[in-house]
Amino acid sequence: MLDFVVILFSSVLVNNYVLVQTLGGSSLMRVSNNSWAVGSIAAATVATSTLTAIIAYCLDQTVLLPFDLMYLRTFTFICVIACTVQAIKLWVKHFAPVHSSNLHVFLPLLAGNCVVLSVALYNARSDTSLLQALLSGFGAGASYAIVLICFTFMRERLDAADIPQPFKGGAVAMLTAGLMSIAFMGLSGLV
Amino acid sequence: MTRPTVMNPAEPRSNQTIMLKVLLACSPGAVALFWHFGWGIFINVCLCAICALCCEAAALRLRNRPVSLHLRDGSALLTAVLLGLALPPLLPWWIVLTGCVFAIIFGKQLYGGLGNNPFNPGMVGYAALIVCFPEHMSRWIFPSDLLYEGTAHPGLWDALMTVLTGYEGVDGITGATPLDIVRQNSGLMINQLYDSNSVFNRGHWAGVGWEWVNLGFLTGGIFLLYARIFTWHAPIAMLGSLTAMSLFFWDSGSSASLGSPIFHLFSGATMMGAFFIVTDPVSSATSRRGRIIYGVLIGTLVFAIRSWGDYPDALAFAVLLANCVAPTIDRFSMRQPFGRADTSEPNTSKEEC
Repeated sequence: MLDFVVILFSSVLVNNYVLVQTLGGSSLMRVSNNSWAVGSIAAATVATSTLTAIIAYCLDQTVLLPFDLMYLRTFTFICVIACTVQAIKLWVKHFAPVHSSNLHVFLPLLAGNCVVLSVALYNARSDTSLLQALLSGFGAGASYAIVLICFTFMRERLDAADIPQPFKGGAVAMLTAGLMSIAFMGLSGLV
Repeated sequence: MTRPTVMNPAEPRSNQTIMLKVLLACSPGAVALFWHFGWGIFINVCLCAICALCCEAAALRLRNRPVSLHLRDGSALLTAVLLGLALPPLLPWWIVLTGCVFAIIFGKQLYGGLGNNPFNPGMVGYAALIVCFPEHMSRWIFPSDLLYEGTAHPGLWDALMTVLTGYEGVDGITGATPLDIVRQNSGLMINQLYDSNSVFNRGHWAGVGWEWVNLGFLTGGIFLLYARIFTWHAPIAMLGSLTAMSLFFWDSGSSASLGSPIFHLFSGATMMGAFFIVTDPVSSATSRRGRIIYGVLIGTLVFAIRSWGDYPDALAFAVLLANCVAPTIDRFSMRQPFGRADTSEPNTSKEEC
């Protein structure tokens, strides 16, 4: 039980995928200036990352490992991600059409989010159980979602700030992400 | 969008008066630091102040803003003084200047100066330094009560030479802070530790030197509360959650103990943080409810990082982490104005929550 709490705590805060391992930065920069869609994107990322981690783990254990096809891992996982994202898109369109238009623009960014791919690859490389794979998938998604939400509202506040002309937009967003990263370094050693 | 404002909009006062009062309120803590740690503190503050004013002036000049008008509001000076008081004395000059430049340029001016910075500039500088120069930043010199017979803190001239030319001369008088000692304690009950270690047995309640420094900042903070420079919400929430956390984990002094509540309240930068950093109106949450959440978050993080993290004093990181979350706290802690159901537009109400 404690192991599972540690996995979650570690992937969400201490080894935060975005701010400590610097994955998914490009997607974060592109997505985070839309505060109206941030909730849907965060939820979609958590769902994609969890589902992908489970499916990738099962495929890895049942097909890739027994047939010694480890060199196909990256390719297979990318296909899994693409299919998961497509499935989520259909599901959202069918059951929650309100969010469908929000997500429509950002789904390609979701599929190209390297947090999702990296957690599947990490799971495949380290010897994990299905439950651990699920939790680390969920943790990775949640770590991205938390940073995305904080960063989005931070950028909303920055939009109203009197920032020097050369630093407007992307530059100050990168600077902010860097400072947030320094803040997260303070959590090192907690797990 | 919620924009940070002066804390009491009903009574407009210039930023300058507020900053002067805050600087005045710093003085008991600063005097206590100077009394116990010598001229190093004074040199730190002076170096930081000069550097901060130069950086601020240069940035304003580059942006074609009125330099003297903005310099006179005193915010850069206040940032510099707080950073200078937080840094260990007798640091080499280039480390002090690096931190100060980072604080003013990256923490403040790139975001547009006073009122726009999402992170507390002083803590940005401090955190950058502790990440880059951990060895220098964890070497505090002994309080004067603990110096060996026949040794003393360097005088003004010697301290200045140490700061400007090298760091070798101070090896004999640096040592672990009370927080380090409790953190690295293994095997001794807290009572034994307090009896055996001169840092504690020459102090009165929380470690020699540091207890008076924290008491000084507490006095200044109470003055500021009395002068209504800030509301009580954030500092009391922070101190309250720190006390609650340390009470919860207090096992009446076993060898694995994490320190008593009184120890945590009067060690390191607790009081300075609670009354001078956490209350920063710009980078904290804006609503009252938001400030309570913000304070509780900082108190909890300070205790967690002090007890289980890698860094000895956690205040800078705790404040920066809470700064990251502050806009989100604001967004979710604002009460909707009556009769308005729409949430797509950001809430611009400044009503108290």
